[in-house]
Amino acid sequence: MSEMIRIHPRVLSISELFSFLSDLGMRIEQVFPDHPISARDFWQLLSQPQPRQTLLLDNALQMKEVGYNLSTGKFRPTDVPPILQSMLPHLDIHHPDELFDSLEGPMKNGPDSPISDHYRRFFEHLMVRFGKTTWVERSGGGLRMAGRLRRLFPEANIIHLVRDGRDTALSMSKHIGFRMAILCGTQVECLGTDPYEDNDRSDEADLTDELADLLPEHFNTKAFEAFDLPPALCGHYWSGEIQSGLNELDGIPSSRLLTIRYEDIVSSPLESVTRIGTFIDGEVSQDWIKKAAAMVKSQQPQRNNLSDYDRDALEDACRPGFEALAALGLEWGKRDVLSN
Amino acid sequence: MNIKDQRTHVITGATGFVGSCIVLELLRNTHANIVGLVRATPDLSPTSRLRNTLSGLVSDYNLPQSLYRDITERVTALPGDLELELCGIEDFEALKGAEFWHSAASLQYQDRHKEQIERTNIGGTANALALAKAIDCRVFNGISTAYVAGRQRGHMKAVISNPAFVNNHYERSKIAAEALVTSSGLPYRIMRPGVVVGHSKTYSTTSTDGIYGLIRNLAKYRGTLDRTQSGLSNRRPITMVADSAGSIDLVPVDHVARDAVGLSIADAPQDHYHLTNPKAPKLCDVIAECCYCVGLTTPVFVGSDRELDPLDRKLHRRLEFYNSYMINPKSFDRTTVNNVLGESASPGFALDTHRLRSIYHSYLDRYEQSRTSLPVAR
Repeated sequence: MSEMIRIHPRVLSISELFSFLSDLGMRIEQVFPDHPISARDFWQLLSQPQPRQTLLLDNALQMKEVGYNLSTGKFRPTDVPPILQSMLPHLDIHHPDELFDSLEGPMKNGPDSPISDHYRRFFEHLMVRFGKTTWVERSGGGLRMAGRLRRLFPEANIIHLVRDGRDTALSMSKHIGFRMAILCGTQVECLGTDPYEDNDRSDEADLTDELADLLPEHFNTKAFEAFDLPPALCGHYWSGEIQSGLNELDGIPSSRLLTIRYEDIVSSPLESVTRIGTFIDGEVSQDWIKKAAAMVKSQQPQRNNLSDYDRDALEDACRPGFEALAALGLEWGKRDVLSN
Repeated sequence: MNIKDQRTHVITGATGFVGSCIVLELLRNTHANIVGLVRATPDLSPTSRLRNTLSGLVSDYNLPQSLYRDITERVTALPGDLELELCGIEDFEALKGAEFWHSAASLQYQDRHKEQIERTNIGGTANALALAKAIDCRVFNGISTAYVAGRQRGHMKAVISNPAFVNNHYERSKIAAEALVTSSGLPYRIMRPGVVVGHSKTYSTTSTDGIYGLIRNLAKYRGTLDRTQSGLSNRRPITMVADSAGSIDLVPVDHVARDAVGLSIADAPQDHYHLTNPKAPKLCDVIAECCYCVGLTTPVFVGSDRELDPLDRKLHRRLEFYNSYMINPKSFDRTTVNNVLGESASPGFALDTHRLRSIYHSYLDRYEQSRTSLPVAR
């Protein structure tokens, strides 16, 4: 989706901004403070390396969303700023460091403002820089921030891209970023504190050996890859996100909310891309539609490879999410079994 | 009060949950002087630390105010360290002939803590025994656990335990520690408490282990469920592997201390003693009330982890230590205690719903307050 938007002639594609600023969803409050902050603090938010994504890079666990080239870039794995992980390389693959450097001055200069004003100023600056007239921000797992985004940008239009929960959950269970987010959430609950913000380990004994090996002071690639994350757990997570996300989106008029199924994009790319492009920017060029549609690739669902035990548990976990979507007329059935 | 009992008692773990209650029971029922071996800290002397702990418990347990003076006049402490030879005590002349109580222990059980568990529970016991020998102790009272019975089921006699049945490093270390005691050549008593809970009158506890560890981990599991999906803990019944028809030996700390000190005063012979609860509650009630108090649904009990779904398997692994309580139901024979104490043995403590909830809340309320605000999920 971000790649399609990136080649749009008028739209600025902001990819994975909020996911990396919030350090994979673990610092949401810091990304959306409820009080005005200074421009310097805003720049700090954009530029200060975040612990979880840093730890992953330092252990050679690079998410596919991370476009920063560690071989040629000036930053080492331990100090890549969050906006350089994905967002800036996405905009300028050849000169992301220079783009980052060019942002510091303008972003640091400005009045104390509500966070929404800082983000708008940031987006406006980049739109001018790249000659665009509108912006789209897309972050994986963004549905969990839907309520906050809606309050910060009440005038914004929203695209809700939704996929079969079973495939989503399976993908999440293997995705480096989601695996890290879920295991970090479990560590927080077990320790009673965030181990990346606090050295208190009073409740360390309550961690299983598996989770203890993944504390920041012990973290290693082998332990991370061995971490058992059942697809059903991700399925429960998906159902929860769908339910709370749909609540947050409730009431948005259809002129400002486009809900589109991933499977429809794959099965009817031209039609789907046209819908998306029209929704974002009114007019769409046929040239862009063709190029964007050509980018669509199908991914064969892997859930048939699951054991009966895991498949049944996954179905059960996703049921509440499916029920919530069905209430809006969105359903998944046999016709959604994709083939190459 | 036993007037003739004016011996000195040396005790490790005197600031701990069981050890401190034993000290208070000794103060109430004897004229003895108590010397605690207490780890030194930069801020307080060992004596101050021990006296402060005990004074706080007089209030928490609603004990006679006269104990404050007893604590000041009859309790002292030496800077001790179980990991050192002779527990780090160099001048022990004043301890000669004392009765020795060894209650300090590590209650860790995870694989990653194996070395520390052995160092404390086995190495610490060896050092305590060495000191006990050096002071020509009158008798060595080793505080162990009834759950050295491990995976055995049925009615457990108070006899030497078999390491073939252990569930974890903790149980293995306690059996090894008992073996050191029984082979030391010293007169000994092996005392095996059940799962020790708060005071029978006030439910107050300083423990964070045993049933409190179980309830804390259930509370954390609820938090994990709700972080995964808001309200999931309410909607989704949890399933646990447990023999729900069995009992779990919850025993109030003052009942343990009462029996322990009673055995000492009665000059109980060298033997193994179960300091347990003849009215132990049913496991299904104990676990159901745990779940109720932390906001989880009433659990479904199954016989095998093959019947668990993936989430409940995660919980099962997290609660691995507590399998000793939940699987392979057992009761503990108190014949050796009753033979010595007769009617003065603890009569047992029936734990109905009200008492169970009071016991849990005396811990949970304090625990919830200590949790700092966690990062929001969304």
